[in-house]
Formats: sequence, C-alpha cells, structure tokens
Amino acid sequence: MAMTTKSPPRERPVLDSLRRDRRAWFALPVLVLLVLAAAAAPFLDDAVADTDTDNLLAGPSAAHLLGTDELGRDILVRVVAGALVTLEVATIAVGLALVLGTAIGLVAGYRGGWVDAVLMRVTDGLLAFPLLVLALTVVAALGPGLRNALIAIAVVTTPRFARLVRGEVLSLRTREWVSAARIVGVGTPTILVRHLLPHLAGTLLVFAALQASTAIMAEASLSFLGLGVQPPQPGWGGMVASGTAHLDSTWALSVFPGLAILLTIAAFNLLADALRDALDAHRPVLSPIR
Amino acid sequence: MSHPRTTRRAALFGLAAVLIASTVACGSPASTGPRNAPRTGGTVSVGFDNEPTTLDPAFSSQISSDRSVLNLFYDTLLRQNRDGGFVPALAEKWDAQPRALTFTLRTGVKFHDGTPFDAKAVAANINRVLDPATKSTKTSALAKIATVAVVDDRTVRFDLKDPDPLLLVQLAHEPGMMVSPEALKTKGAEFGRNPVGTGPFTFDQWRSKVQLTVVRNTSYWGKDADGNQLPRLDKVVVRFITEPKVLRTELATDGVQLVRALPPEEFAQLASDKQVSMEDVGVRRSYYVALNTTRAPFNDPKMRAAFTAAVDRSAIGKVAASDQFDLAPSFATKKDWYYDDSITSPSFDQGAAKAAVTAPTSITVLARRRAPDPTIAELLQAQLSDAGFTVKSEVLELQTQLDRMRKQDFDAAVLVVDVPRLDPSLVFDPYFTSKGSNNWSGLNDSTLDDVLLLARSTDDKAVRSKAYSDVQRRILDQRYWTFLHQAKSPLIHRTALKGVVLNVDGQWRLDEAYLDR
Amino acid sequence: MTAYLIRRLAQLVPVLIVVSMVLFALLRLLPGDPTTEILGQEASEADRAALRADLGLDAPVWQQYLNWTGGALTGDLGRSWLTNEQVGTVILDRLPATVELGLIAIVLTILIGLPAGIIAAVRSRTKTDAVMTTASVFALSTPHFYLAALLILVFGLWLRILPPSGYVPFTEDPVQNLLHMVLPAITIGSTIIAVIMRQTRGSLLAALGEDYVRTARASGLAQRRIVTVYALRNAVVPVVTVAALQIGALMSATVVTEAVFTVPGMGTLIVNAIFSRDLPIVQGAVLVVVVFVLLVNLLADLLYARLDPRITY
Repeated sequence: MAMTTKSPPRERPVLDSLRRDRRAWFALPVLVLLVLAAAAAPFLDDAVADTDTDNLLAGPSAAHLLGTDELGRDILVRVVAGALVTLEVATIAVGLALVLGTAIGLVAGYRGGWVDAVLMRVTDGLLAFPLLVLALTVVAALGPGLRNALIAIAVVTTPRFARLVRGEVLSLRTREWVSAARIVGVGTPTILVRHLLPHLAGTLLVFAALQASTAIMAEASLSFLGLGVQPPQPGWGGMVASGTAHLDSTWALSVFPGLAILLTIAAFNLLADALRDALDAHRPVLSPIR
Repeated sequence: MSHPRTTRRAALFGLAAVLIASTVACGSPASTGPRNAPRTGGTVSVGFDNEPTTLDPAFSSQISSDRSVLNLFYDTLLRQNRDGGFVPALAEKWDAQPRALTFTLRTGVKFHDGTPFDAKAVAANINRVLDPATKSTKTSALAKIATVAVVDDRTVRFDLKDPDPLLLVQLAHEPGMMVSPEALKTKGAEFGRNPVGTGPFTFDQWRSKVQLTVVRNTSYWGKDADGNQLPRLDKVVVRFITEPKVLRTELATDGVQLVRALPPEEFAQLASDKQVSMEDVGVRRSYYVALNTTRAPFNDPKMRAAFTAAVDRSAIGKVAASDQFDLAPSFATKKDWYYDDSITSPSFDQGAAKAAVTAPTSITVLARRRAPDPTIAELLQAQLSDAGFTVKSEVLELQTQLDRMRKQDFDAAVLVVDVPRLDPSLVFDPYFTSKGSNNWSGLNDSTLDDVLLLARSTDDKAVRSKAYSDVQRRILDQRYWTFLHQAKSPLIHRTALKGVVLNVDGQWRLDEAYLDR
Repeated sequence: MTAYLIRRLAQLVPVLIVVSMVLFALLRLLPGDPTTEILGQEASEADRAALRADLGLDAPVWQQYLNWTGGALTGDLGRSWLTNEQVGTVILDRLPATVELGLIAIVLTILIGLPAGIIAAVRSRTKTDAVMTTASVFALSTPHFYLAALLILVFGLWLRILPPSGYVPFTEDPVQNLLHMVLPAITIGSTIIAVIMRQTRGSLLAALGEDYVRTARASGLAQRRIVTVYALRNAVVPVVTVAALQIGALMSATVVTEAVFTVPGMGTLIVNAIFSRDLPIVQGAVLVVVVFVLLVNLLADLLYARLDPRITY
C-alpha cells in the first residue's frame, strides 16, 4: 500500500499521467458521448415512441439512418435515448452501493469486534452468490422494472465496496496519525470521514469505475431476460433482446445497441485501468468482472 | 369451465358441419406430396412451447396444447376425425341412445404395464373422473353420466341423467382418455409424471423444461389402412422450447421436425424454405384485450369506448402477425357456423378517443412474457398514449398475469386463445358469464347471462346462431373487450415428416407419422 | 494442514447460514401464486386453498425456513411446486450440462488464455502485447447474451456449421454433444479467457522483474527456460487464485448463456424456476450453486498452499 503512506494531494501528476494514457483517450469521448446522449434523452420522448406500422423493420435510409425496429421506430433515436438507463445504472446504482458499502466498511473496519463480525458475515454471505444469480433473485422478489433492477444492482455491489473499504481501514487505523487524532480527542465520525476517507478516495474511484462496468453488464443482462427496463422505455439490453428475433433479417436492431453496451463497458474498464496506473497503486489486481 | 346443461341433440350435427367447413385442403393425413410407402423407424423431435404440468389427462389444464402430448400415451373409446365424424378406437362400435351409451370394446388391448384393457378398466376411469375426491379438472365434462355398468368384459354402458349431445365429443378427448387403473394404484401421486395408457407410445423420460421422451409401443393395437403395425416411429422427443426464435431456428436446421405453434413473424421467415411445410388448417390465435369493468376508469362505458376507439387493430395485426391474420368481430372465425358478417367491430377513431379522454387517465396494461405479446402491449401503449391515456405496461409470466386478472388487479390485459373450440359455448361461457371461471372483466351483465344461457339451452341451430350474434353484439356494444387480430397458426413441420394426423380442432396424432428421407 | 482445513470449513458455516436466510427471505417475497401454475387457470378457490395447505404455504414463515434448511442438511431439498419432482433429482439432472460447459470453458481458458498471457508478457510493450491487451478488454466488455447472439448468427444461421442451440447428452451422442457445446462454451469462456490472460501477463511480468529471474538471466539462461521454469512457476499461484474466483463469474455467465442456447443446465433451471415461481427449485439450485462456488474457492486455497512452498499454515 505505497500510496497510503504518502500525503494525499497528488492531483497534478495523476492528471498528467492520464493525459498520456491512450486508454483514457478512448474512455473519455465514449463517456462524454454517453452523458450527452443521456442528456438528450428527455427531448427525444416523442421520437422514441413514434411508431410507424407501414415501415416495420426497414433498412437504413435518409429518414432512419440505422433503419426501424419491429414497431417502425427509429433505431438510432432509441439507441441514443437508451443511454439514459445506462448512465442511471452507473451513477445511481453504483453511487448507492458506493455510499452504503463505504459506510459499512468504515464502521466495520474501525469499530471491529462484534459489529465487524456481524457486518462481515452478512457481506461474506452476499458475496458468496454469483452476482447475476443474486441480482435475478432480488429482481424476481421485487418484481421487474428499472427501479428494482437498480436496487438489485446496488444490493449486489454494496458488499464489494464494504469488503474493500474495511480491508483498507484495517490497515490504516493502526497508523500513528490515526492514534494521534484519537488521543487528541477527535470523535469517531470525524476520524472516519475527515481522516480515513480521503486516503481511500483513489482506491474507491478506480473500484467504482470497475463496478460501473459490472453493473452496466448486469443491468443489460436483466433487461435482456426481460426483468430490467420495461417497454416502451428504450434500454440497450432489451433492444438487443427484441432484436434477436430479427437477427438474420434486421441485424442493426441488435447489433447497434449491443455495440453501445460493449463500448460503454469497455470505456469504464479502460478508465479504471488508466486511473489505477495513474494513481500508481501497486494494489492487488482488481478483477473487473466477478 | 362451464358446460351445456340441457339437451341439444342436433347440435352435434351442426358442430360436424362447422368442422367440415373449417378443414382446409386436407383430409386426415395433413401432409401432401408424392406418396412413398411409409417407412418404419426413426426419431422425431418436436418443438413445444407449452409444457404440460401433468401427463394425467384427468388433471390436464391447458386445453389446446396438452392434447397433442397426451395423444402419444392415451387412447379414447372413440375418436373424432378432423371432419367432426366419430370413428372407432378402443371401442369397436357403440350404440347411442338419449339416456344410454353402450360401447363394445376392442379385445386383446393391453395397457403399457400389461394390465388388460376391459370394461372394468373403462368403469374405473370414468368413475375416477366423476369422483369428487379425485378433484379432476374434467369432472364437469362427464357430469351427465349417472352410472357406469359393466355388462361383460367387453361391453360397458353409461347411463345418463339427461341426454347430452356433447358427451361423445368429451369422451373422444381428455375426459375419456383411458389410463391404466393398476398404474394409478402403484404410482399414486407420481402417475402424472409416469403415464401409462394404451396409446402408440410408451413413456421413457420426462425432464422438466427440457424434454419428454417416448418410445414405440411394440404391442400397439392400431394398424394403418394397409394393415401395417403402428406406430411407425421408434421414438418421439418433445423438446420444451418457449422462445419462438429458437423454435424457428431449430426447425430450419432440422433440430426439430414439428412445432406446436409459431408466431407469424417467425413462420413468415420460413416461407421460402423448401424443407419446411406450412399449411393453414383453420386454427387461429385470437388476441384480445380484456378491460376491467370493476374499477375506474373502465367501469365507465365511455372510457371503454375511448379505449376501443384508440386501438388500431390492423396496425397491431401487421406488427404482431406480419400479414398473416384475419380481423373478426370476436372469437368467431370466418369459418365458424355461427360467424355473422353483419356484426361490425367498433372502428379505429383516434379523434373520438381523444375527445373522450378529458381528464388525466392512468391505466395499466398486462401482457404475457412470450413473443409477440410484449410487442402488442408496446404498440397498444403507443396508440393509447396518442389518444391521451397515461399507460403503464407490465410484462409478466402467464401465471402471475392470470393471478392479477383473477384478482381484478389490472385495467387492461392482452391475452390469446386458440379458436375454434369444439363448441362456441366453450369459448364464450368461461369469459362472459358472470360466474365464468375466466370472467376477467368482472362482468355481471344479466342480459349477456340470459343470452348465453339461451344459446346453450337449445338444440335449435338457428336459435343458437342468433343467440351468439346477440352475445357478440352485446359484448361489442358494451365494449367489454377489444378483440384484436386473429393470427394464423398453420401446421408447421419439416417436409420429411409425413403422416401427421390432426384432431378435430387442430392437435396432432403421431401414430401414423414417419420420416421420408 | 488438517487444522487449517477444519478452520476453513468452520468459517463456511456462518456464510451458509447467511446465504440460506437471504435466499429464503428474498424468495418468500416473490409475487405470484404457484397454485395457478399447478392447477391451471380454471381452478376454484377452494382447491387452491387445499393445495396451499398441502405445500406447507400456510405455516408460519420461520417454520417454513426451518423445514427447508433442516431438509437441506439431510439432502432433502423438497419437491418442485410445479412438477412434484424431488428438487435434488432435478438438480442432479441439470448439473452435468453446466459442469461440462464449465470444464470446456476452462479447457479453452488453459488452451487460449494462458499462452496468450505468456506471449503478451514476453512481448511486453510491443504491438502484439497491445493488440492482445486491447482484445482482452473488449472480451471483458462484451455482454454474454450479445456474444451469444452474434455467434448464433454467424455459425448457426449464416455458415450453418454448428447447431444454433439445444443440447444432446454426452451419453447419447458424444459428437453431437460436443458440437452443441462449442458456441455456449466460447461465450462463457470469453470472460475467463480474458481475465486469465491479463492475470498471467501481470504476474509473469512481476515475476520476470524479480531478483532471481534477473540473476538467472544474467547467468545466461535462455529466455524460454527462464519464462517456463522460473517465472511461470511463481506466476501460476495468483493465476490459480484468480481462476478459482472466476467460478462465481462462470455461474453468472452460465445463467444468461444457457438461456440463449437453451442448454438444460443449472442456469436455465434457475431462470425458468424464477419465472414459474417454483420456489423450492430456485432455493435448492441457488444453494447448490453457492455451495459449489464456496467449495471451489476452498479448493483453490488448498491448491495455493500446495503450489507455493512459502505459504505455511
């Protein structure tokens, strides 16, 4: 844990390092596009729902650059609007897991004792499930839909953050400056938030990017199985699913939303790799998909 | 399911007439083409989307699909041909009196477990279905039978409480399928997964959600027209595949040789495949939207009218069934004897719908998670939104959807039934009588109840025909349901598979089937 | 070693208790009514109530939990609500397909992932390395259902050289069995191959930088021998660990992949059972999967100890 012994503010070298990283240069435009597309989604509501039953499964044309789907809707418009769901997964579900998981990890790691024991047993129990199997079970329990899929993904991701943060806190809390703060009479919440959390920021950032890619994959899989985004809201996983029925005739219907998922996940993976290298953390390899 | 309670002697002939009319281009064997001598041997795989929950005919619940599977294991005393006529099966002949049916049984027939098939076995079967303790789903179908008398080993007589013209029809289907009484005793609760009948195939293995394997019954009693031993196939594998796309690709790549049903967007893609035969045998998958009349907004006839006006049925047909569909006013198909072309469906009128939806109106549309139902729901949602409704659609597994509909926890629901059924009373009564088992809309309409009662209380075909016209007019006037398109559901199989024989309303029998390659 | 094994097994107990509680709590909340599936859509309310009693659905929730876990400990996972089959029997019926699929995916991983990782490490910072590393990122980023759809399109529908879906038991026809396994195994394997490639590359690079390798290199040993004998032996330990951790990922991939190819394994079993509200099957199957994953991880720990002489217990 080389980084934890150094003093925290090192933004300049990190940015410089990122600037020289080709992976970052791939990830950045993709993620900017994702955000722009998601921002455009609310303005596309009408176009997204615009069916044309005289023009079903049409090939590319000037009016429809990627052709139309099984209800005669514009595929390009729907791929663009589908970005919103993906961005929600990456921000809301992963954000929720980040906050909850970090809180659990901080408390468990710092308090130790039975609190730690209980929290970690539950965490271990949840981590023993294969991710998608647990997510499926949660969604099946709550019912299908985007909101429940987001909850399911937060549920399966939270213990991963908790485990990571607890591990980091365990190694940090014996440091002199933590003991010093405690002796001076700084309260536990302050130590956790003011002193420990900043040291975790880099690790958490890398891990969150990785988890975003996992979460997007999980949501797409749920939607592919029909349990995530519900029609007519456009979501990439569901679009691939409805396109598989027309794969040999209207391949654009599956191929483009699938490509969008692929590029977005790749962007998050590459961003995580680039960030990790930039932060120069010789930490154990974080496997992107589990 | 409701059943006719009163006499209707002539109805049978009417029924037969319909079925003759609904037969398209074929006699019994559905396959056409050059006739080579049928071959013996080989394995046929069947792609099947609706896995039965049990193989005990007394508990079968999916009327239009279970029968194709049950026909592998079981025989009935008599069979009803594709043209509606009755032919001997386990009974060599029978004598039908108004209050007594006497069957003379075929001799030398044995169940798969060696139990002899005799009059006692018939009595055991019928009494089992009639016994309330059995809780059979077929009890009401045989309810008119008072007692079963074993006259001698090969003669059995059913004494009836009242004449019942539909009884022969019932006996020719699941309620009359003969299971081994001995196996019922030894297998107990496991019988439903270990079927033992007299049929052309014997049970081998059933892996849930995967496949059912059956093998040739080497001592089957049936012979073909030339006197050759049946069945011809060594083995049949019924593969349970719900995904229409997978069914289609399996058929295209010879993974299966026969499928139960494919939606038009899938079978249309097979049209140019010379290895695949498709034949319209009159079966239609009639899609409908039931509206919940027990709560707002659709307790208000004006809102139901707005709903119906907002729906463009032909657009839905185009999306869900390419151009392979009919538009009909109700469940009646164009070839049904009671079909009335003077009945007009409410027309698509978005302006009228818009004008009627004055206040914000939120509705929930339910649909089954199987293509093309979700697509239909999605298009409905678009059309209704255009008319000013706020629409949420929920795509559910069938049992969850039915659960919600039974609890009347929905506003509108998309479902489908295969038509025609054996008699119009079997199509309308469950859905539109106030006590009907599938009264999704929560109807309590005495006018409708009265006409439906009249329709099943008489044997006068003219009266019945008029009554069913009135029924349909009443349903449409009140806008209880919106009937969508009727998708064609042809018989689809590899051309190499020949000799598939169809039941009276479209289910197949495979005892004469063979592979010609 | 034995003491370690016992300690590790003991650690599994609380995990399994949490797993079973989570599973039970979640699935008790499932919507839907299994009696509809069992009795059909035209059954009466009285019949439904009777069936509910038969299935034990009217007992208090805690008792249903104890009934289930008690049975599970003695190998009795109950009966399917839908078909009345023994859950254990159904699972045993489905395990072979999944295990076979997993084994083929692992074989593919060893045949492709390991050599690719070694090449990328040896050719570190060359074009080869860059291409392979990039390819691995995209392999990791491709959803399994998407890859599956593309493979079906290309090999099943266009080229028609492999069956697009389905399954034939090995005992019935080994050749057909393997042909049917190819596309799903590639789909599932895509992720693990990429992970193992990256891991092999990473740990091999680290090992190549170690003092003893430098010494060996300085003493004039051939590059091939350095890589295979010295570096790889040390690099293999973390690779095994990561591979074992991938068993969970493999199960996740299996769920979607089996659904697309209609392979009758544990994945389709779980998905179908969830959709049919067949709770005993879901509970039993997920439990078996989780126990399986935990045992493989335990095995990896033990293997780790065998492979790395520096670790003592």
